[in-house]
Amino acid sequence: MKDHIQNPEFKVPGDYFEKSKSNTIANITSMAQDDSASMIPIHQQPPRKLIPLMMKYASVAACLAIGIYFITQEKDHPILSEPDLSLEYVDYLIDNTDALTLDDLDAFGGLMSDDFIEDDELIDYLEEVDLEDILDLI
Amino acid sequence: MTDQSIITSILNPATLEQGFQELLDMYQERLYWHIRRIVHVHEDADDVLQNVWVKVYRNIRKFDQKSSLYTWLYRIATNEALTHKSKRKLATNTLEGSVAHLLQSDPYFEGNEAMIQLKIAIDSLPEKQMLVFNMKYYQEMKYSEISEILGTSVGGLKASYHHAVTKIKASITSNIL
Repeated sequence: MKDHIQNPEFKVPGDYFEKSKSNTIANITSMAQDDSASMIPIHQQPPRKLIPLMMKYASVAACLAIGIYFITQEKDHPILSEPDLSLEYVDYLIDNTDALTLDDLDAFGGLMSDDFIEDDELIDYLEEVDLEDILDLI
Repeated sequence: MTDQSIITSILNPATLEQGFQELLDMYQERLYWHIRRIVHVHEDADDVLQNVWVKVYRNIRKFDQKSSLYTWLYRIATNEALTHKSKRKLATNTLEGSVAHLLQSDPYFEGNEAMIQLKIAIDSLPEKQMLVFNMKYYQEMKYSEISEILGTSVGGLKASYHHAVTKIKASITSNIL
């Protein structure tokens, strides 16, 4: 087989093959980077991606825990009956992990709702606190 | 560099770039001219060639190496070029999609009227005859190589080439007379 047979009537821009090579390499390298980025294990993903994911799991787990609680017993929790779902309340949850009630968990489930995880201020705050403390809540 | 070492390099993220560089050094121009003869226009050939490399990257893990790398690449390039050609036919009206119009409006075509007649004759051949003619006449590929790429018997290819040459001669003769 002949190697690079050109038809003389067909032309290409002067530096076409070199430019095309560079473009192809850049394109393929970029695709490879995208592919590898999409395969990063969860524990290596940046916090911004990791936190919303963890919050979704936490929300589901909290709802389950509350459901189980109401099936088994009932208690009054006047102090936390209408919790203020604020940054201060997150502080409270973290500082009182040992004494939390299931109402706390209920409130925490609310914290984990979509409305809150879209709150940039709260997300920023949760990135600063120790996630282990939050996960210990459930 | 062997086919195997190129494939190994491409499959390793650390040597992907080097592997692709080798692949392009070996096959880029061959595939470009093969595609160009099918789609005629430089811009289209460039688009098709880029698609070919993306497909190669996406599918090289599935390449079973039962055939040689260049056979596999030619198959992808041929299919991509034919697909592009049929899409172009559907998207344009008869005049815009005609070979004569395409060649005359391509700034990178410098052939004369006789050359345009030859291209029209080649393009009007049935698909397989057109491919066999291009690969045999322009690239001087062996029938056994063409057979691997197109999945047709050598006997069938010889017959196709013969028919192609006869039709091209008849077409050009009738245009001259």
